Amino acid sequence: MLRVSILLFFFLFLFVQTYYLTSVPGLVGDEGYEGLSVIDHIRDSKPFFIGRESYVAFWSDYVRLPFVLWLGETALAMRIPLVLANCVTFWLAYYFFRRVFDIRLVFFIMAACFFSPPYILYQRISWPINFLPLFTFLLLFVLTRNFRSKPVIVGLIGGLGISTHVTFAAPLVGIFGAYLLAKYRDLKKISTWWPALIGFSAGFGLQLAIMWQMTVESARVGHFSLIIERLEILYPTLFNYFSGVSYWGEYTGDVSHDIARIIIFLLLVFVFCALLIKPYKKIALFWLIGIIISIATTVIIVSYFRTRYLHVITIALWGLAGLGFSKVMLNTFKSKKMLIPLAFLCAILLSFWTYRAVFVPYEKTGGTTLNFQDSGNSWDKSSHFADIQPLANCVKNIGLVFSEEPKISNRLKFLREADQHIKVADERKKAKWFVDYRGPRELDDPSKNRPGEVCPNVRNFIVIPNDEYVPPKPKITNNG
Amino acid sequence: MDNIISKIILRVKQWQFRQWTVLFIFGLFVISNSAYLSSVPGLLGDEGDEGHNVYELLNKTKPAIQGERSYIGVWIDYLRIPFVFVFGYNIFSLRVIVFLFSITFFWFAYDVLLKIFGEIPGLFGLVTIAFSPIFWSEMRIGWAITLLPFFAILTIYLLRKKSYWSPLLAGLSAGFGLSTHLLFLPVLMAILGVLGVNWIIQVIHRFSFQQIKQFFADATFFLIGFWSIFCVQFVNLLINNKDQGNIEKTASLFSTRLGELFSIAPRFLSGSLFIAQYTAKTFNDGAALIITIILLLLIICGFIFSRHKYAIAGWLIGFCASYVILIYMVEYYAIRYFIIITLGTWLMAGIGLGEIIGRLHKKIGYSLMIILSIVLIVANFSLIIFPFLTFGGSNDTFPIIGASRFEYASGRVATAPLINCVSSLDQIFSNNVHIRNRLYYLADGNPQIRNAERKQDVRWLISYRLPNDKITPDEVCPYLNNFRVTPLRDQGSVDWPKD
Repeated sequence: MLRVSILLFFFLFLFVQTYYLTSVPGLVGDEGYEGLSVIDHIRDSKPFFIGRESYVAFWSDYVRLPFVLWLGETALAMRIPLVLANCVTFWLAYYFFRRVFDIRLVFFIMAACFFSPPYILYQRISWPINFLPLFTFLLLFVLTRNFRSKPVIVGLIGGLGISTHVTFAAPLVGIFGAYLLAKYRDLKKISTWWPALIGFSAGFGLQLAIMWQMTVESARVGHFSLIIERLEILYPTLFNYFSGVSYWGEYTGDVSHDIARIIIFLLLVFVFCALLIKPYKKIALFWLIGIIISIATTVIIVSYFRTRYLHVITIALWGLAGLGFSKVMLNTFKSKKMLIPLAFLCAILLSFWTYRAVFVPYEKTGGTTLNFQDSGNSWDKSSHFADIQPLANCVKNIGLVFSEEPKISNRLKFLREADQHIKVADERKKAKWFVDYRGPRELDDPSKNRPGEVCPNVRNFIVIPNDEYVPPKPKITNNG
Repeated sequence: MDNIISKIILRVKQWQFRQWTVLFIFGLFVISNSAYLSSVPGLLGDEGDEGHNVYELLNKTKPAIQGERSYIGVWIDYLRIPFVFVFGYNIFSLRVIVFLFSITFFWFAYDVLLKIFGEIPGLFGLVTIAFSPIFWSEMRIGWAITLLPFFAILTIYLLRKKSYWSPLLAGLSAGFGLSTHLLFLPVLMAILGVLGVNWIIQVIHRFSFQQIKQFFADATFFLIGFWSIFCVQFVNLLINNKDQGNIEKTASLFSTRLGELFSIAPRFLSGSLFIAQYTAKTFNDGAALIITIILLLLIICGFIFSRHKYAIAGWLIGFCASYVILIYMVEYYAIRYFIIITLGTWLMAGIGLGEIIGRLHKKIGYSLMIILSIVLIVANFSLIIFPFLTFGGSNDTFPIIGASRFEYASGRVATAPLINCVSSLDQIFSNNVHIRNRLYYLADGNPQIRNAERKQDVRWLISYRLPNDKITPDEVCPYLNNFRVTPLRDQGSVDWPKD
């Protein structure tokens, strides 16, 4: 019964993960950039051990590479490896939670983690940072097992996680902080953990060396002088991120603070339930301590807040709230036969809510270029999530196009690898057409179309004649 | 505390002739290796360049993970920092680290050799290698490549240990070795190759899945340990690859180098070339050949008489394999590339001698061991140290390959007289990169050495005094045996480096 239940739960998860995988969202700005990095590796035009950025591991490019070769330069090819990683994450999390908690609670926690809007909305975008939940649960899975080589394997996972994206340092420090507190009676044994340093170095050393060699680019990570500024905006940032509204703001440009307040209220209630209701009060406390340490580490290491930097922490908080909710349910129903179907129901409701709130509006409009309040007092554009396919269809066969927006240009450059009718210029003067985002005020208002615009029906982008275009000089052939 | 001391005293009181002999030999080794550490030889150009790298790292004028070359690791520079702080930018601070490694090498080699070859042969092997002119002349120089034998023996030691984490630590040691200098690769390949073949033979002999499982677990640990250290150097090697020469050309000349090998083997196996670096005088070819033949005969005797034939065969194959790989990797023959194979030959000859003497009474064996140590020390002093101290080295040449390829001994001439001379001069410069590297390093800790920072500032030129150079009237310090310091007459004669 249990096996069937978890299998059904997994298939539900897989369905949600793959639903509209290629179109919601369309190819995202940085995904195009990642794709170009894969193409660089295919063409051997950069050292094989260098990823998209100095702080991003190269291995994620190689994971995507066979899929890009097989399926072509598409969003699907980029996203399949992440779906596979998510499947592994699901099972690791299941076995980890099962080892720690009563099985009656596990399904609720899993539902809160893997069907939460932040998870559904972000774990389909092929960024290396989205492999971090995999490393987090892998680390937790290994930490709760007993075998002799555990220290070296734990170190290796930690190192590989940080090399995948340096922001993994936050969950890593959080997990170890909580683990050390939980095991403080065994602190004498800490000296037996020295192999973890070797494992960590094996996992992270290469990336660290690359970051040292390419210091300018890596400077984006860790502006310690701005810590106070980050602390000042921390509360509203966490409010937006933990409630998930920033995640769907990126899809729809629409952030409802009323909904955010309700979600945060419910999350807090269930977190308190996790802390105050038996059983597993101690574990819930360490879980919360881990989250707090992770947040503090994030504040220290990142230059500015982005949803993706706090993604793992957000999922952890939803999981903790899931634990609280499950305890309430356990005290109410007690029976496994009731609790597991209830967990299913929760998962379905969460998925359906995400579908209604985000997928449906996005499918209708193909995203938007509206700004939304992202982290605290800063505003972000939804434009890099806007569906690029209508634009790609528009610029086919019209000649060279150029965009000053790297997130448009990178996407078009990636797509042109699959479709040679799309031509992208590297310099503005060489392009006949200029591409940009359609301003938020111009959306859905045909009267504001630009003169000479082609494809005015493309909602989020404009394609206009390039006023800086310099026609190439005709070649003079000497026939005489 | 008193308890520990009394335990040690009790333990020492139980020592027998063997323990006292080993301790005495170790004492001789320490004295021999530390003798004239900061003056024989003088500072080498490359040694100075590696030392100057410490200064550059501390002053952040280069990336924190970049060693002197792309193929030389930076960790050794960080190790040098405390010594430079304590002793200053001088020869001693570079060499004292190497000296400490040599002491550690002695004990690891003691453990490995005794366990593999038995008591008397193992100790004879240790004495022969540790007091050989090759060890004395090469294993005291404060550059990275000197540490390769240490990491080779440490890796073997750890690979032989049966503890759970030893494969991980062996990998760590191998990673440090290869990060120290890329030329550790042939040694590492040879070690792993021989151990791999040995493992295959064992598996064929008595097959079990447990053995295979254990092998893969150990191999994984080894790789993790290795990569944890080598990964940084790996990035350096691939990103800053301009100083690695023409790899294709190097590979294409492999057969030429291999062909030349046999004609020059007696010169390096006898130790003649190593000694000549200090004095510019090689043994005559006959003497070199006789020494080589004696060494080879001892190896053959060792093989015939030994109860550890497989071990001897394994080590010999390992040395030969490492040497062939090394010849493939290097662009041309330099004397330092012969160190491992020559030390290996002397080691195996020592083991051969030990096998013969081991048939006599053990006490005779230990006594002869002490005599051999003293004889080799006397040989080192009379062939290397005293001639060097008399003239401060030489700028003369000596032949490496036949009569066609010569090498200057100027790389090791005494530098102290030159430093005394230029301390009173301003804006000095040398067109020779090796002299310049020494001056840069020594100037890092000595404000009296004032190197010119721009081409137009140069006032004094420093060069080697070649054997036929005569003292000119404008020379300062005409008493210098190996250097000339002359005022600059023409700016055009300054060959300012491009970087």
